[in-house]
Amino acid sequence: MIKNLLPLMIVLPMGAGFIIALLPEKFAYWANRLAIAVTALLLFGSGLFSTTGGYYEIGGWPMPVGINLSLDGFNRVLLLMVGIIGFTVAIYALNYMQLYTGSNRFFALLMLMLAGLNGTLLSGDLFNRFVYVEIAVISSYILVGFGCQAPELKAAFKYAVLGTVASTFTLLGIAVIYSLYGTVNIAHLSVQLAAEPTGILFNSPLLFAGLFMVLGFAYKAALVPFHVWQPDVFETAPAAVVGLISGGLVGVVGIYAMIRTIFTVFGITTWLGWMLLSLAVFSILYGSFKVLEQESLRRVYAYQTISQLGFSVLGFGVGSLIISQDGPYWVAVLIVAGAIFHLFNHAIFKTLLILLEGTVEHSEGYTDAVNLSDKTNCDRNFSIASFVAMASAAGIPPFAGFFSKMIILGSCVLAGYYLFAVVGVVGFIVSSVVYYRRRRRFFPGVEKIGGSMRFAVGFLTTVCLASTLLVIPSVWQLFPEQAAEDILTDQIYLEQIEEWRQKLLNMQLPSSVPDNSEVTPDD
Amino acid sequence: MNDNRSLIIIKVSKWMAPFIFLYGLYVVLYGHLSPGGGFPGGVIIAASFILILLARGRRAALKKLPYGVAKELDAIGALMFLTVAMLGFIFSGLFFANFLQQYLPGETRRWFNAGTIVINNIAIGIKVCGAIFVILFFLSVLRISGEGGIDFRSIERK
Amino acid sequence: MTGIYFLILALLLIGVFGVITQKNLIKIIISVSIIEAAVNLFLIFVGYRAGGEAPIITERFADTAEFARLSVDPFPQAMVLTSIVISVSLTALLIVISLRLYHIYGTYDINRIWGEADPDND
Repeated sequence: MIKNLLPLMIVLPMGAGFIIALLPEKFAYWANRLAIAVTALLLFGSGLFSTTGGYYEIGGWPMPVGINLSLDGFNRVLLLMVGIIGFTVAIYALNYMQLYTGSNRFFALLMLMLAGLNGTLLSGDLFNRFVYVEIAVISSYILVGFGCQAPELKAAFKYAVLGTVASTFTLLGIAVIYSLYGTVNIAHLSVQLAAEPTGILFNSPLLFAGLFMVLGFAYKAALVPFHVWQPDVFETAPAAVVGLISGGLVGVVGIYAMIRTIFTVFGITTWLGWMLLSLAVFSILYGSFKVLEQESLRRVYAYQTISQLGFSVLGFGVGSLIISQDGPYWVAVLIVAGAIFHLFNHAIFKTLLILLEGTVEHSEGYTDAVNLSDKTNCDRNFSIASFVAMASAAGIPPFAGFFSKMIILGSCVLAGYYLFAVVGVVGFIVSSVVYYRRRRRFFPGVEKIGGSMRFAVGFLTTVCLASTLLVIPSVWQLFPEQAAEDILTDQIYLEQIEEWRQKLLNMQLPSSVPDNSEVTPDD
Repeated sequence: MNDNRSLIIIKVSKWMAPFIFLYGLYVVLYGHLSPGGGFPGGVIIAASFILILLARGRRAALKKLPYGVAKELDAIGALMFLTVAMLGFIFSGLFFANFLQQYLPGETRRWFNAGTIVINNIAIGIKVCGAIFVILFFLSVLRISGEGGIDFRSIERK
Repeated sequence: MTGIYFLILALLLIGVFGVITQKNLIKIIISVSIIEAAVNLFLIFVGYRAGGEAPIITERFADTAEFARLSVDPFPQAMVLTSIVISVSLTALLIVISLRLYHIYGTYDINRIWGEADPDND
């Protein structure tokens, strides 16, 4: 069974991280090779898992007691995304991190961060997910301050303090949920919360738990009221780290964790849908308009990330509204699939844009746009790559970014939420205008991309082009649509509960059905 | 710098540290039978070195536990933990499976009765001891940088 | 018992207040630690049972049913231990960052570190 290899997705990077930390500085060559080999294995593994599903009980402990890993349609798309981004960034960093000393430590932290991201995606209970989120996020705090210059440290301090407060509130939410239901297993919780008679809105402890967790994850996703850390971090951190944050961390630790919490644990309800939508609308509008006044390229990308993730959250929010108000189911599936597709696309093109910006920084030592636009003799591959990334980001038709945005906006119209469609169109147009207005800066040109950075950029450009293929109907059914159906119906989690019930029935225990009266830990 | 340190503190810390270390070892090794375990035990073991660090200065502490060794203990403990988990995967097909318990079930309430849990506790103890010592040592170095002969290489942008 | 929960709420609010209002990096870190302590305390009290035993099977318990009746819930304790490890590492990281900032700026005052000389941080 291939799913028995599922824990390796977490163990491999974590073990490699500690091995690299163990190696002295003079073995840096082998440490780097080890890191790249592991990321290549992760990419291979995420490809391998891209058609399977199921869950894995760690240590053989059965479901509500033990820790389990779950893999469904939504996870595996994002697992593939993290695999691609991790592989690219590791290869890219081989050359890029020559700007810094101590590349060993960079790769050790990179590995730990990938372990945290994969763990966040796979883990099937709230508390383990919190721990994996912390592993990924703490590594990112350190990586942001990697250069140890004043701006980096300031950005890292701001990010870390606010992030710690957000994480602590997430933990408080988990504690409240545990005190109410006596379990943190997502599958077990989803059944128990669905049986809640009063509904979540009128159950104040649950309401607080939901708010704490969703807002904590919204901080990690840098949605608008919680976006303050992102521009500074993007401006100062090494480009490889920014690529990883923008491509992996924000999408996985923020959006994935938030959506999994809302859709699977709390169930799809109207008020959580409205909360997602309010976050999304503010993110799209604020992010889009704030881009217009930015001078630094990295800040442009930061605000772009906010608005693009707003698009994705808009899709999830409208999808949950449609489901909770008994709208047409196929539109809900379409828009959630579009949101997942957009999340994937955004990770690819934004990482590509940031890595390209990093190559300029690497070869020129600065990214001051005014000076760079005068250069005439550019590397042609660089121009092609930056055109592909920019076109996908701006939403020019044959590229993937266009399709994902169009699917989200079209489904908004289909479902009758015209206001959100208007908001989306405004964001779309403004972000395209930005790329048009500043097209010179997006083609700054560098004379030559060096070594491994060339390979990384080429690989990611290919992926960016190939992600358009996801809109082919048969592929669309296999990946985004399957992902949307899995997240809307909680397929894998229901299977877990069903299997657990069968086990209990076979054991002839008195209480065979998990009900609310079962667990009262604090009597 | 050592001149203004009290003789009482130096002597008492010298006598206390081995006992704290021993108590930490006990907490680690009996973590599966009594309250305790890898993390508290590791912290107590690290505390014995930190006592020396606080009472007798960095050089004395580094003589007992060199910085490089502590740093490696950190990684070795984590790797040991992962290795035990992987051995469960190899021997009984399940990640983190308690494979020793299957083949060598000990007597209940005796020391060797929990299979891999003891090994895991030891691994965690090693890791925590190394990590806590490195953290506190690092803070003591950062506080007065530029002084003392310790080669403290920071990561910097070239 | 309720008094404890009010204490936890008070600690939480004090911590949040400190993070928002304090001007000193170290005081901000202390406030963050206070928030973490409040949440850890809450987690411990989730598993609290008046007069409960440590959740370890010893000779004191006749069988598992009695164990379940007498012992406290071990799961929140495991969660608290993990959460303490996380907060220790985060505190260490924050202190190292603030010490580095101190070396550069010679002060812990955020008004002087995020001074007027820097571009607008919004």
